[in-house]
Amino acid sequence: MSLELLSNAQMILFAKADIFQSLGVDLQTLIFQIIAFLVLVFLLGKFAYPTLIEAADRHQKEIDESAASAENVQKIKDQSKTDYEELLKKAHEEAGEIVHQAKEDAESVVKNAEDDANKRANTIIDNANNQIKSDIEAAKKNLYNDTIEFVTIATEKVTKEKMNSTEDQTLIKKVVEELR
Amino acid sequence: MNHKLSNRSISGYLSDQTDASNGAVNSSVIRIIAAYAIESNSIGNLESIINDYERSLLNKDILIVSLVSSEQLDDSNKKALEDKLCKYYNVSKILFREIINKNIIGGFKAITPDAEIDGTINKGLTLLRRMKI
Repeated sequence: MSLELLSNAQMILFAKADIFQSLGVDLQTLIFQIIAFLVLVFLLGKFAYPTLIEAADRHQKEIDESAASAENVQKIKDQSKTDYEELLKKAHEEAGEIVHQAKEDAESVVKNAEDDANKRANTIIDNANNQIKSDIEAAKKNLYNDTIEFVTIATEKVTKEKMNSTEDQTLIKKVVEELR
Repeated sequence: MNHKLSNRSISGYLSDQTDASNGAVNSSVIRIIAAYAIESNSIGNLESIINDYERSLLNKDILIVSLVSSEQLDDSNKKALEDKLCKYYNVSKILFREIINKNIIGGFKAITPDAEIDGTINKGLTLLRRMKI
């Protein structure tokens, strides 16, 4: 049977050989190459492809892991960016608040300093005015007392020199008349 | 003389011995009082006795006035002063004890047992000095 099949196949091959020969193809070489190819395919499927597929899978897994890692990193990056922006925003707000507070503090310090300076200036002016008033009063008092002393001494001297008996009696008469 | 008399008793005795018509006191009485003051070692009380005596004379219708002036008052002024004092003290007789003191410059000062009338220039000058502040 097999011989029959082989002969049939030989026959077909011989029949075909004419075709291949007309095309310039050696049938035996072709068969050999087909067998070699199939062996090669078998060998590759048996030994090389699993390794390659395994490597490819591993590589794919690594790529997936890397992608996942990259995605994770991206997420972290995005989160960090969000955090950074929030932090930056908060920092801006805090900085603004600090600047505002500092401005208020500075204004308060300046106002206090101005108030203090005004108070001191007013105190100095008041003291100076009081001192001037006091000095003027003392000068007036001295002038008044000196004037009285001068008038008294002058009156005493002039009266002693000018007083005569007639004037004395006139004065006595006046004093007596004023008695009640 | 161990018994010591009070000023009031002595001045009362002097007052009794005074002549109400002219205010004169017998000189022997004066000597007795002086002797008593020396004996009782109370010369320091004489001024007080005299003051009491002069005050007690008011009961005898007599007022003794010390009159201090730089010159003697003329009669008209003295009479005017006498009239005023008689009216004020309600007495009929006034005895002036006249003292001349040039330091008062002008005017007069009348000292009664209970008051002092100072109308001297010196007093005016003193009042002027008191106006000092």
